[in-house]
Amino acid sequence: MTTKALPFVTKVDLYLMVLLLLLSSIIRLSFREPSDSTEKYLKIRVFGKPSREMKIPLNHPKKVGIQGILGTSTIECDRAGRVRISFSPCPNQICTTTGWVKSPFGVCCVPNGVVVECVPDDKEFDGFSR
Amino acid sequence: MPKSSKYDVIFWAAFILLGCTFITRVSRPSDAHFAAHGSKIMMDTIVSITVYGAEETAKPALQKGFKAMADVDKMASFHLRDSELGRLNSQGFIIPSASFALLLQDTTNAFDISEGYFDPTFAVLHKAYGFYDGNGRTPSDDEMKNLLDEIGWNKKVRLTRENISIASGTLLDFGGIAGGFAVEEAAAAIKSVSSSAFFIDDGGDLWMEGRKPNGFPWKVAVKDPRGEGSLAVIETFDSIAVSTSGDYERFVMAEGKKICHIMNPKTGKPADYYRSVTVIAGNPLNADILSTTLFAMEPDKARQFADEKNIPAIFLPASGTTWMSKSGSKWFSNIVP
Repeated sequence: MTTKALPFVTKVDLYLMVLLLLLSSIIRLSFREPSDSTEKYLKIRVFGKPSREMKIPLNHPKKVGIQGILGTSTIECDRAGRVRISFSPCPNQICTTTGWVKSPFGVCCVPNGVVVECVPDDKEFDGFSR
Repeated sequence: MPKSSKYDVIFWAAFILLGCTFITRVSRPSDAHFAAHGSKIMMDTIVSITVYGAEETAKPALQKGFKAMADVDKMASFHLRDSELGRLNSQGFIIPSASFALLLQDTTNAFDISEGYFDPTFAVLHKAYGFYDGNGRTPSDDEMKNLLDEIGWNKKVRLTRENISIASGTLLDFGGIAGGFAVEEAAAAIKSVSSSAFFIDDGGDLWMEGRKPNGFPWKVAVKDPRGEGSLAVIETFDSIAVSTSGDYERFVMAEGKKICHIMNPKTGKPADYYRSVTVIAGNPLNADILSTTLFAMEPDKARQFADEKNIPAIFLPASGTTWMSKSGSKWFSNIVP
């Protein structure tokens, strides 16, 4: 009786490989980091009502109303990736006078309890003294 | 040996892919790289704290840090009528808590070390310039003479072991020291729970302690008031405090002119020598006091003071280019002139 040598890879191996590939792909896709498309965003963190993190496309900059202690502050972004508080119901208007700021800095309105921070794209700095 | 086929290629591709996935998963940040982070509006600014380390210690440490800062805010806030400072300003006399007594002692030391340039009795000037009601104005010369009579921690404040009293008409404001004091209290609270590295940002006054889990040095930037970028960069493995005093975040407008919130207590006038002064110190209290002190000082005096006391500092003058104290060059890099 002659015994035929088994091929290095059998059909069962093949099924196993396909299964492994599928599993690998599923696992990889499940744990992938969120990636952006080529469109550029300004990422800001807002404290007020509601407090939230927002991604604003630079091609479509917009104004956002944030409710504070005294009333609604208006936060404005521009195409250059800058942000400012353009309107505030606070008495001293320090926040609006501050003008435009860019990542990694932000603007704070203490009387109205509204803060907007530009979230840097990279984590190059641990903090910023100002 | 059998000849390799396309199936072999698929096999090894699958093997490598699965291996890579496994490596990616196991090399994701471990518990030691966990960072608890939070931000809150307090101390008249935004405070952010990051505590590294195991989740079960980092999270409670973060909460303790915020609570410690809130406690100092309640104690030393100028605006809260029922704070210890509020009661002292309205009643002229109080028996301070242990913590407030410590702050008062630190203030006395700060007044002495700063040769009187750091003086919380500047509050009468803030009131006259309209900082507290938001209606900026410039006091007349006659008014200024009377105001200067109301200033002087050594003349207007009587501090004993049991109590503190202030002269009639005197007002105290602990801006310039309460922040640094609060950060020290927060740091102590964090360390009572966690032994890992942490970072406190009190409205731009920074304290970084311990070694970051990723092994990299702490890296912070100093804001350039003239634009949107950085004036300088600091990189260190040491535990340091960085404090900046500037004319661009707290001010009032009077007759179209910007009135800076830091006053020169010797002249009673707003200190308008600089756009910003940034100081590095070994603890948050000193950094806070020294940045305010140097900002209030005339440039020649500030340079001499910083060099004599070996204070790393960077100055952006109201007009002209950036300059540093002698020891500043060891700490600040990427300077924008």
